[in-house]
Amino acid sequence: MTPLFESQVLAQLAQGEVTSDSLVKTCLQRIADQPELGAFLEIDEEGALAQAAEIDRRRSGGETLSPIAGVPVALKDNIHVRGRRTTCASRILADFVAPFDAHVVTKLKEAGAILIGKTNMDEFAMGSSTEYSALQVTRNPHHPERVPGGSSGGSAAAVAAGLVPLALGSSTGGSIRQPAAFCGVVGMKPTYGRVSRYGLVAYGSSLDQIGPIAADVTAAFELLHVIAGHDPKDSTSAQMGRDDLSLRVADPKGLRIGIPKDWLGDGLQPEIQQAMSRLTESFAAAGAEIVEVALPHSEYAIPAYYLVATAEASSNLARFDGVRYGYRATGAQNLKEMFVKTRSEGFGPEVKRRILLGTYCLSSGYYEGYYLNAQRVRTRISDDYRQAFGKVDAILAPTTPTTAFRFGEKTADPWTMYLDDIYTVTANLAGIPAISFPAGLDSQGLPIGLQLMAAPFDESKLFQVALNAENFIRTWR
Amino acid sequence: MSALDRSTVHHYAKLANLAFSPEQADVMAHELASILEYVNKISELDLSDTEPTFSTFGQGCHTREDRTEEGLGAEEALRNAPDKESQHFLVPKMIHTRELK
Repeated sequence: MTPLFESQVLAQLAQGEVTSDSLVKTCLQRIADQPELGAFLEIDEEGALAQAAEIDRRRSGGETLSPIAGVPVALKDNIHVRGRRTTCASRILADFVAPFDAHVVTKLKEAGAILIGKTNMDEFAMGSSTEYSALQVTRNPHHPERVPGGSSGGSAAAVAAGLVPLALGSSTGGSIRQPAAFCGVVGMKPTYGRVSRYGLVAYGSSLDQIGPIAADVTAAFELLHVIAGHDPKDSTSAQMGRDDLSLRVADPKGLRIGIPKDWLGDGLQPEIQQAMSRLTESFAAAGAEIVEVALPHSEYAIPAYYLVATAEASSNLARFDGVRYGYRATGAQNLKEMFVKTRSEGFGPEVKRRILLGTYCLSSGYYEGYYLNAQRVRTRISDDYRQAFGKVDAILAPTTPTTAFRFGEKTADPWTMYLDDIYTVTANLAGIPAISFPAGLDSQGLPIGLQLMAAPFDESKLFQVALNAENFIRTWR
Repeated sequence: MSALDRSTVHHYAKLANLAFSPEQADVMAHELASILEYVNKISELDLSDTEPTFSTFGQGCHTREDRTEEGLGAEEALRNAPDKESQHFLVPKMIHTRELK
């Protein structure tokens, strides 16, 4: 496999040892060399080279630039870049050209990042394998017959194959951490409200967050630092800025690491369990205190998640009706028929399934028992975490129950695919920050991912502990 | 829980502006019934004393100052329109009028 771009490349650029132009050309060459990977839906070669030339000019002129200036960043194709297509990997948006920049894109442009292209995903971010993309197949860089995970599968695969140093994904139930785990890279979901969703195509609005994917913890932090902060255009954006965010290198001695013991039972691949034990021992040996934590409502998380997310999706996706943008079916005799034909032809099967489930659980007679009770379960899950973070600095857990599965293995029964989010959805439901990082390979050579979670807006602590974890794991090699 | 059959699927599909063939509706009914069986797990909990979470961390939603800002403009807003005329979106007719004598 092609070596990954680790955070050293940021330093090399900053010190002028590497030019952005040469870095972009390397990325473009690698993308061209691995078409079978299918990570990208669109490449902006001309734009990327022009941006790179501009950054190199500014840097040689002595300007002080952002740590990610001149660094190619891939964007999941549900994030708007003005004048470029945003397809959400759906037929219904196949030709949609974004009329404005997402807030995160504005931030990336200000920082001088190179917007090299858009990556494949499950249609409208609904899925855990990128198999629900209506546009193309994305393969796991570690094994061509395995899925890259999803829904940000293209972004994770692009970083894991060494095509780009950085990428953005979005997470509603685990769509950043799960593909990062499957592909052997770092993926981070920020606290709900930390990063503006303005210009992110909405799926489950009370859950959605944009977050970084990178080869290592440091690079992921640098990307988060650029995109975080208040945005008046997202009403859920936290009022705080990003000044509290720091990447601290600290001794793990005295840290309190929580382990959710109930998560480590049946259904967890033994090699992932072993990686958990090994890392736990490393923390303990370095003087961290290991504390068992109870998250008793975790078993209700997937049911609650699929009720909340689909209810919100059914409402958010009502806007795709063929009137103002996107695909419009032909041959309809009246407006209502046009809506129905457009949506039925434009959406794929998983999107329709979720819209239907959401419509059902929001409907009269079911709203209280399904939607409202799911939101109540959410309160219980948040309370579990609040209690846990009263006792520990961070919680360590597996990211996924297994390593990357085969194509087609989980598409026959929707619920088996949903269960893959079992360790990731709770952080989305509770809104807390979480980061997945690679923790070795299983016997088949597939990456194992573990994750850390921290209290709301305590990303600095999260990254500090993640750096510790990464250092321990490096000694495993 | 109500039995989920083809006609239930057609009813909710209509609400969601979707259409399914009878065969597709049968498959969907089967899949939804199986998903609902799993999500019904939440009914094991007595949640009567628990407040629902609509937004995490009680930040609530905040609004911007009521100040005019430059918008997209008609040309930009219409750029992705499947059908348009001058400054309008064009759609198939929505009201069927009886022919006037």
